[in-house]
Amino acid sequence: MTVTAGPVGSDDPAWDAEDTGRPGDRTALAWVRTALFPAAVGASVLKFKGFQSVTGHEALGGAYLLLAVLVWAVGQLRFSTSRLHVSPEAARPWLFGSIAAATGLLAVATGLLLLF
Amino acid sequence: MPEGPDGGAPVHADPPDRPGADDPSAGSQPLDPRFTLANERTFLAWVRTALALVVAGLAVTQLFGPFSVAGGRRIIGLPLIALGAVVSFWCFRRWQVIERAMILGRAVPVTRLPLVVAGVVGVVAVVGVVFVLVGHVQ
Repeated sequence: MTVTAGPVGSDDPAWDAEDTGRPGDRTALAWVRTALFPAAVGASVLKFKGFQSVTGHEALGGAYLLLAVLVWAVGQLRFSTSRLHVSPEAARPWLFGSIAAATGLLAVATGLLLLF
Repeated sequence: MPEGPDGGAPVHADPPDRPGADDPSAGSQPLDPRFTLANERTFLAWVRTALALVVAGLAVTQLFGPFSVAGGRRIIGLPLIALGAVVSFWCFRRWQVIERAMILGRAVPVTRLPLVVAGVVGVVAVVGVVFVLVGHVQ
């Protein structure tokens, strides 16, 4: 199902509120893309020689990989029932908040590890 | 009542368990899923921006050679990491504010964080150029 141009509404046969169409697909891909970011960071911190001088680089790299898993899992949860159904709406603040908090705390931890 | 994304009729989607959507006293209204999905993608883009800032700071402090200025790598790298932390905490708040504005049918409030991000990155870039130039002069 694709989103058509022109007026839309619940009475428009071209628009199905349960079917998020291409915007839903784009959002699902955005979740995957976002999960790849911390995965690449974690792998680099763990394996790249230049980053191995960071104090506790194993823990830091592992934490980034865990963040990647968290982002991937939340993305799957959002679009798990079907690619066409967005769920669960009510849990989104918790899910998004956990990702934002984890990213922020990892950034703080990274800065502190570089300082000390 | 806001118009649809194409300037058409007002949109009535049906997210039944949206917070506040069933509270008529709050002046709330159902949302077009496309709007809320766009807001979600913006949130994710900010998360990626935060991670990119942290990685940039990490790379500067660990991969660059030492500058002629003492602590030069930290002076450049740590503000980027701090900015990444600020962005990651802020983007969730921004997502919430936009969701609420859409539910209440209000205008989306303006934010200054893009300006802050651009400013900090610009200042860091200028400082980096100065460090490099000082190294060449010496």
